[in-house]
Amino acid sequence: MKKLILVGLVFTLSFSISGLELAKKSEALSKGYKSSISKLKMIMKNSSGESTQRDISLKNLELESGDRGLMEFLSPKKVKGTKLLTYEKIDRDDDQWLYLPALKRVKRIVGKGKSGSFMGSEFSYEDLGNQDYRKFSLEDRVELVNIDGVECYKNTRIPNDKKSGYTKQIIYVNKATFLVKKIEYFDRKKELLKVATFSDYKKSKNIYRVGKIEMINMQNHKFTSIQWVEDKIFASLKKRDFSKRVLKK
Amino acid sequence: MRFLTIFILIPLSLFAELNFSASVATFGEGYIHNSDTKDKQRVDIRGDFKTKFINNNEDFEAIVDVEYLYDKSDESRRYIQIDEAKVKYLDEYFDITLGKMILFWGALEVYNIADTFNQSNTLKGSFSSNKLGEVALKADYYFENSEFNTVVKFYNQDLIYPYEKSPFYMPFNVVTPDKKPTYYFKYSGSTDSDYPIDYAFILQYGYDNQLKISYPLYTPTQSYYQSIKLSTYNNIVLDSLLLKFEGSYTRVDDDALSDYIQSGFGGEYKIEDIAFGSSLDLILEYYRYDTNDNTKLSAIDLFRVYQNDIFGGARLSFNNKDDSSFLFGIVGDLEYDEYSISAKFESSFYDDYSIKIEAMQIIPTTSDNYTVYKAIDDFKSISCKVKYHF
Repeated sequence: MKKLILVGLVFTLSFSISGLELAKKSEALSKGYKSSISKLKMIMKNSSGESTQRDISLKNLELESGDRGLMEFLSPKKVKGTKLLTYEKIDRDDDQWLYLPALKRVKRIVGKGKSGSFMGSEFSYEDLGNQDYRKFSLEDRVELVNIDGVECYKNTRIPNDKKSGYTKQIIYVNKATFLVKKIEYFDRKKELLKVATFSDYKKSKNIYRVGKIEMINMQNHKFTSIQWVEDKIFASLKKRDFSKRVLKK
Repeated sequence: MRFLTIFILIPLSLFAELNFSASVATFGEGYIHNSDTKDKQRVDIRGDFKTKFINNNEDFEAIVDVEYLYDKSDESRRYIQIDEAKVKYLDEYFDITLGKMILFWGALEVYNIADTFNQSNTLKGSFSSNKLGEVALKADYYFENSEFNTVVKFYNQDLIYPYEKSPFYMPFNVVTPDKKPTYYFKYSGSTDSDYPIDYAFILQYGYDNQLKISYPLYTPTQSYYQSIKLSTYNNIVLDSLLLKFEGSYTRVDDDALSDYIQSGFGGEYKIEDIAFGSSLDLILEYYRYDTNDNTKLSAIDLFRVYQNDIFGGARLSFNNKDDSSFLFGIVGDLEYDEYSISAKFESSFYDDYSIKIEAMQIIPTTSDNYTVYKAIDDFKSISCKVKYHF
């Protein structure tokens, strides 16, 4: 028994990192881009394999008080011009407004709506919002696991927001690179709901940018992928590029 | 119109980016009602063609939005109409827009008290949200979390009702007003607080959005009059609940009419993941109209719908790749005991097509009062619109 404890202690010490340290280290790799302009391709597939594509333009601004993001749908034609403006908040729900071009109307989205599907995809507004580690309670325990032949740190995080659609998320971080490889999302019934896989990372000016996220819903077997077709960082965007004015432009 | 065309066409050669979007739709509607003189069906073809030009510096843009309508029976519903034709100069802190434009001001879902800039396109039916573009000059100045807008609407567009055989026919002659401007001054913004608020205040001077009704030579006639109006519309986020308030006070410059107050309150609550990933929005709203002087024309005399009405509705969003949704709602008049009930299903298919199926029933008051619903009479309809986007 003593031998087992000793082996366990040695094993733990060999990759001794806390959940908080892991989150900070992983997040630091993608921070510091100041602002970005990207074009995304979103492909949605239903359980019978029928697919549809949506093209999105995305602008982001890094701020200490919480990032700002502006998403615009470029296709399909029916939703072209629909825009989503997000002001991320660390200590409360993000502020979000949706612009509906057919009605020329800016509509505020309330907190609970953020756990709902984003434009019919398997991503929720919450998934696309702020993933700052300060929005989660992080378990201290970090395990080392093998995911598709890659050694990864495994850590559990619980959203601080009581209105979150998730009771917990299990995050897998590549041990060698500290880049997020996979996140498992558990619903309010504590059952596995979705799995997101992150790939095609690109390094630019010492900052890592994800190139593709694939989200599989484990309950309805629907699938959505988001691929970054263009991605420019240090894009010289300012706060005024994220005011409500830009929704109606 | 020639003035507008020159304004749009001259700068075209300077623009670097051109966006074009369009849709064509066919619409069919069948009616069940008691009248032998009114149509039992309506079929039309609709088109919408929108072009947007932006220059290299992204500080100048032009938008032209043209609508086409061809009704099989009603000649008044056959037109090509410019909904928007405007040029816009954008600076770091301000915009200037000139031309024909459509604006939206409001927070509530069904009836927006503060949304007074554009008139409804009455040819699309009494319950249509379609608007007539208005020719105006608009200047906007932006602060960090708020903005100030000044709008001068040069004149009001002509209001035309469908022909006598339409169930939405209103028995009014509309007196075309003198081409006088209406001024709007609007201040709006958002607070960054634990309970965020979106707020807006509008001061309006010129023609009122309400029309006066009189009976010269026994012919019901609608005419415009001058007023000063102060309006507001607001949202406040309380946890998962979105609360809304709209209100206005109007000082009327017409001896036959009283000054009046309109108010509307509402709430919207979303329930996520009720089944198969779908979500449900529950909406409850109340609208009221009060006059200062009971001896003058009342809301009912002026053919107002939302004078003491409550709306209850639910929107089921299926959150699927086709954006399918089902909406059900009832507007009930608490004073005259009359109802409008509607159910609507919307979805897209094959990416570029969309379909809307809507059923509606109007149950008019049994009292002697002549309301809008009574003019339409006991009425049921079912409509289907198929649209192709390209």
